[in-house]
Amino acid sequence: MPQSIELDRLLANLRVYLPGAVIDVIRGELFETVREFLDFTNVWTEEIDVSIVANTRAYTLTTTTAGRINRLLSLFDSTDINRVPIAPVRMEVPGQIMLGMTPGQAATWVALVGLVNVDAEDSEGDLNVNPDIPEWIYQQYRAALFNGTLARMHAQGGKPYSNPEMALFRARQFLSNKSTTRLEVLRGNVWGNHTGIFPRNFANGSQRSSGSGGL
Amino acid sequence: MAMQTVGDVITQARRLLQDEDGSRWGDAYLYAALNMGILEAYRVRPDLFYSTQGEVLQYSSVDAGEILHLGPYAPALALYVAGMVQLSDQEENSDTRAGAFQQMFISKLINHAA
Repeated sequence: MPQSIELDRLLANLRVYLPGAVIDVIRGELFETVREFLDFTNVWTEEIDVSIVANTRAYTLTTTTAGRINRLLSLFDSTDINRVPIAPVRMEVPGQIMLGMTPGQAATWVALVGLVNVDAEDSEGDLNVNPDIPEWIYQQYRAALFNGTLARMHAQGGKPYSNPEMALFRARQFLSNKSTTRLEVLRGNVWGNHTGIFPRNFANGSQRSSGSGGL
Repeated sequence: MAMQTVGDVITQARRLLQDEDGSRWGDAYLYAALNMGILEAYRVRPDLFYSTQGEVLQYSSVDAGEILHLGPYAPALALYVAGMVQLSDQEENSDTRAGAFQQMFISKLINHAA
């Protein structure tokens, strides 16, 4: 994965807080931090078209990114502008979805999936590679990744940078960062917004009175 | 960052032993101590070998030009080598000095201020 300025600054800042730390170990803990962050927040997503075939319930999803499918967030009809989720559907094996009902006709649905980073090695088979995720995640959530990586590093024993108290502090900061991010993702990163849409098929009448019978 | 070679560490150890011309201890002693020191470093700080997935290389005199991928911890190996070689000496004060070298080696690996 090409180095990015955001990642360079993150690693440089981490080195300052971790005297005596090996950069490859920092990368390794950053990898785990990124995975935990992506798993918790579902911030990295992809919409995958699913060609529905009549009388077929099982489908395989393939991501075009460098990540791995972690969670199915929603499945909806591509022609539905309200993106009402189609249920029931299960994904017990990542990437393998099973519809709860048998479709009666062909259609194109869209699976919204959450992604996480995957393990990779460099050309020499070493693990010293950076987590391959979109750069905007490093830009937007650098503070969270900083706190999470520091928490993991400080928790290591027998190191010059071992510090259980700071590990706990940074872990709490990271948890707060993750929670805030998850909420922001649900709101579509729009200030004061909520992305829930009241399903129209539940609206079966008006709640206004006819104007008579007032007290 | 400048990387230390195996030969650099042996040379530094010889300076500590005041045996720069190699007249007292042959290379075989020093390289044996170096390999023990690398194993000791792996015992205390396995993270130093993270990128090689735990592979711990051992060296001989023909590997003097090889880079030691231990970053800023490579110079500490000279202390271990000097300490181990001096332990084989029969003079009493050598034991004290040898112990001090070994302690400094461990301290540099695990302490912030060594």
